[in-house]
Amino acid sequence: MTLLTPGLAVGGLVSIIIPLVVHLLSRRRRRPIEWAAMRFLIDAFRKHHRRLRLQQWLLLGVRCLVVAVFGLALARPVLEQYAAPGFASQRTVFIVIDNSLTSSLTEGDGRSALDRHIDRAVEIVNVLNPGELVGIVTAARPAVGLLLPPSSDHASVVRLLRTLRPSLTPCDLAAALTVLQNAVDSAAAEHDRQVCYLLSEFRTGSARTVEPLPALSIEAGTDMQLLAAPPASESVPNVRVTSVEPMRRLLLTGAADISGQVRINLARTGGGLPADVSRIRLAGPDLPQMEPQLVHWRAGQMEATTSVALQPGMHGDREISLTATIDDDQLQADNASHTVVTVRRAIRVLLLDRREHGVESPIDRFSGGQWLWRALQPVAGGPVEVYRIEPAALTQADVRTVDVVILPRPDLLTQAGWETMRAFVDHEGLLIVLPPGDASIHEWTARFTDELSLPWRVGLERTDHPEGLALAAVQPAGGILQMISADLADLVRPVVAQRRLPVYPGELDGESALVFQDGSPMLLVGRPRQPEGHLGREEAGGATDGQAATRGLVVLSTVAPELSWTNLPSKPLMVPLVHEIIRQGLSEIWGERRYLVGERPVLPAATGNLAGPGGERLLIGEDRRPVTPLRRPGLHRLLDRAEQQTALVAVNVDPEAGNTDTQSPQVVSSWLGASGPWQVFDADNPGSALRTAGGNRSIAGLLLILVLLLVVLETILARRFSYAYQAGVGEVSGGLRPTIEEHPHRSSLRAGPRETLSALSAGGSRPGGAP
Amino acid sequence: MPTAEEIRAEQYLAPETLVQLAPFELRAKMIIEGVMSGMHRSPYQGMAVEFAEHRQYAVGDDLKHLDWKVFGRTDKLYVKRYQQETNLDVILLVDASASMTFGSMVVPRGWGRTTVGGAGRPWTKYDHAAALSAAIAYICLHQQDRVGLYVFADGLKTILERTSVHDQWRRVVAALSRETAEAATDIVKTTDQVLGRVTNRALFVIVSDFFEAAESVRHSLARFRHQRHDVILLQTLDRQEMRFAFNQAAPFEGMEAEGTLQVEPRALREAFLEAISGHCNTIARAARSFGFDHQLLDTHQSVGPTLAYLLARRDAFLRRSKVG
Repeated sequence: MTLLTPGLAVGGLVSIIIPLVVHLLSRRRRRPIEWAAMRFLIDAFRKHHRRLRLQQWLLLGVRCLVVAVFGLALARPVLEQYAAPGFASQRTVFIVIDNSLTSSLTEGDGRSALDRHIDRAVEIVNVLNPGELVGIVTAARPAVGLLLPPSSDHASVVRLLRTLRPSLTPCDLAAALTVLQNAVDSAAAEHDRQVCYLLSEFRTGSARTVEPLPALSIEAGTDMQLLAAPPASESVPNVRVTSVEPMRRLLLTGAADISGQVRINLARTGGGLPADVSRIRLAGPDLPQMEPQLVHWRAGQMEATTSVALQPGMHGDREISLTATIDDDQLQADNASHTVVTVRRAIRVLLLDRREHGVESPIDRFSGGQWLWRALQPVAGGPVEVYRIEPAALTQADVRTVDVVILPRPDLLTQAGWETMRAFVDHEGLLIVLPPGDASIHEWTARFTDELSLPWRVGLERTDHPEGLALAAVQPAGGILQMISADLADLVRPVVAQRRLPVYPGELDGESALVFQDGSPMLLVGRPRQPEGHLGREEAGGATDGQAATRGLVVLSTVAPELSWTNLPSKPLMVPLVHEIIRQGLSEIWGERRYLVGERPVLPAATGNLAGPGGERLLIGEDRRPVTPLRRPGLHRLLDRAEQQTALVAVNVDPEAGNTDTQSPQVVSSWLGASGPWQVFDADNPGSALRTAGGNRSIAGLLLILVLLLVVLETILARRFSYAYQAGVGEVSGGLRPTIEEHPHRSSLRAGPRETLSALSAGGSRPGGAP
Repeated sequence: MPTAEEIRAEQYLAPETLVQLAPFELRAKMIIEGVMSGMHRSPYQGMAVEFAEHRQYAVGDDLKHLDWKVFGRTDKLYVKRYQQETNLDVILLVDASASMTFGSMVVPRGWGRTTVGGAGRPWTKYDHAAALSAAIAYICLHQQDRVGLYVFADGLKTILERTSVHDQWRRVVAALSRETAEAATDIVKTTDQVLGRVTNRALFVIVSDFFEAAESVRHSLARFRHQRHDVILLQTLDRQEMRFAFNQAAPFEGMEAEGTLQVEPRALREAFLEAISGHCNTIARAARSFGFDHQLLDTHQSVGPTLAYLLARRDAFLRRSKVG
């Protein structure tokens, strides 16, 4: 039996003093009555004092019991129903625990939020009756049914709960609810009542209220109760390194020394955001030791960025790992961020163009391939190595060692060549496609978009613009041309196009790097879609995203780099444009090798093994994903089947997961409300809901009835034992009678002795007889 | 000018009581040996005035006692026998033990003042005993009998010798009013002392609550019977002792040093009444076994009717037995 309000029970027990005091006061000394017939009173007392004492104790006991039981009833006791192990219990309790990154937040008592969640979960489990089932779902990405199907071994459940540790991933409550839904559906057939607890602080990092939750479908006739913990009300200050972003992820050393800039982005949440200072250190295996940089936070400032100069030196092709860290705070997992910068001496480019034989054409008749050839290698010894192959002769081996494929004659590519291109792109290749300048009908466009699963709709026939179509003065910011964005306006101004391939507006699914004045794209950047059935990059609770992008990048130019199409080849934009496309395209591709903890990313095809930060090997499945999600932040090494490192990848904590801002109960309630009728339970007494509703039966009503019966019994006993039912003075009947009573005989006595004698004779009594 | 004692005696013997007792006589149920001629049977027969019986003449009988009228009608010789009548010694034995001071009734107007105190004090059993004694003494003196008073508790305390002077009843009341009730009762010792002083047959009227061992009472009565005395037991109890009508728990303190007992009276009422009833019945049976009268009196009732009943009953008994 458990008491919901034990204080009242204690009060009831203490109130037993009341009848005792009343009893003692009733025994206070009264004025003694002088009594002559004491010997008979003593005789009577001796005969009955045992019975009288028993009656008094019985009466006192009943009165004490009345007070005690009444106090107990007010304490709302609940009686746990016994269910023998092995028999179906009446309830199944599912506990969804938020063990995400913010659950490791420590407060003043040194205990983390997860510790408190576990304590509440243990308290909930302890309230359950033997035989009732408990299932546990952890909500940190990836959401896992930690204990499903539910178990009735409560001791093991508690032990399992005690082993829980905060994850480094954000909370994926949507996936957790999906897992919960599946578990509830499985249990609904066996148990008529389910109670789902959601233990979370609902900080911004763990409860992204902008992302809708799936609605829990509760079968008709199923008694299901959804109980959520109250949102945290206390903000905890936290500074996190959201990202480390080199200005160029690809550093081409060429013949000269190189340098670069690294931007370190910080964010802070929680608390009152007072003025503060953070120290940032940037470190890497190949970097000299740097002095910490200070970031001065203004009051209320939430984000900050600082730049650090990077001079890796010339040591050949390699990958440089960079790690930015800040001082420890109350959430330490997000105090570091990692990234990788690729240092290459040169970029290998494959130009798929028709080989020219004989005398070289004059410059005004240069084909696109020829212009590109020159643009790629404007000077000897540049950072780009160009190979040229006939498109029709393309094989898989030709693209295996190159970084970029430029296709100025897609019309000459065979079907196998397109398949090779697709494979190349899927293997982190950069494909640049340009229309052939001498074709007016471009049948290749259909094969191009189909084979590369591109959503673009490119027209088959070029459109002519004799008056010339200029590029827009304001070009899209960022993207693949961001490094030359400062000069881009000047560079695009003299460029005019007379022909172009139409790409229909509204059907683009990519980035327009350059646009004409009419808004139509000149340069499109996009990623091929993954065919149906392929696992995507994101995974949530086993769900797949078939539309996730692959690693490679496709760039489509809607104009051929020929003077018959545009004057671009002869303008200053040509060379930086080609080089930026190549360098930034590869940067973007290789920059994608940044994973988040908790993900199961699709790894490059050549990856045979994945080594963690500590050198531990992570198994890779047939789907080219790690069998288990990435759990540790840091630098991971991609290894080929010969255990040779092919790439270095950075695994970071999701920066948004460390947002420690609190959210209002209304916002959280509204957000949760989309998934079901969640109710907030009492955080100090999470088991009370189980006691008051469900298997535990409150016996307060029974106790109140018992109190009533005891009161009636007390009244009867009190009346009986106090002999109050007996008449008082002046009402007493019975007792000893004198020989003659005054009233009956008074008249006869006054009548005289003769009449009295007659009366006596008639009565038959005789002198000397008994009274 | 009457003295204070005489005034007090008048208050104990109310005129109403005298009126109620006027038609009655207190007669001895046995033959007594008086010193004066009176209304009671004497053991001496012969020349008295009251015919007793006929007896056949035997040689040696005095011829003057022959009943010639019987001889004339039947030719048989019968001698008349006469019962000699004498006066009666009535000895009032009044219990003055501490238990007799109990009373639960405030003295009604006209009942006189109590021996214990002034107006507003309870009418005690001792008061009632005094009233009874005065009334009996008055009746006896009125029929020329001698009246004496022995006051006792754990022994004889006061003795008022027998006399038939007219104001002897006043002396009785005065003697009783002077007495203070205290100590316990020792009826056996008292009996020894009394019987040591009374050699002739007499009528003893014992006025007491008889709160003593019934066996002791029986033993004493046996002694009286052995000495051929007539005894009337007037057992005087307060109405509260007969009803035990208390309704609140209280300590009860014995008046004869029995100690104090905290009781719930309603819880013990039945047992108490059973005990006291049993005791009274035992006393009554003992008295009856010796041919004595026993009368249970309620102090809340007036003396007159109770005594009238007693006297009438004795008279009736004497008439039926043709002894008187």
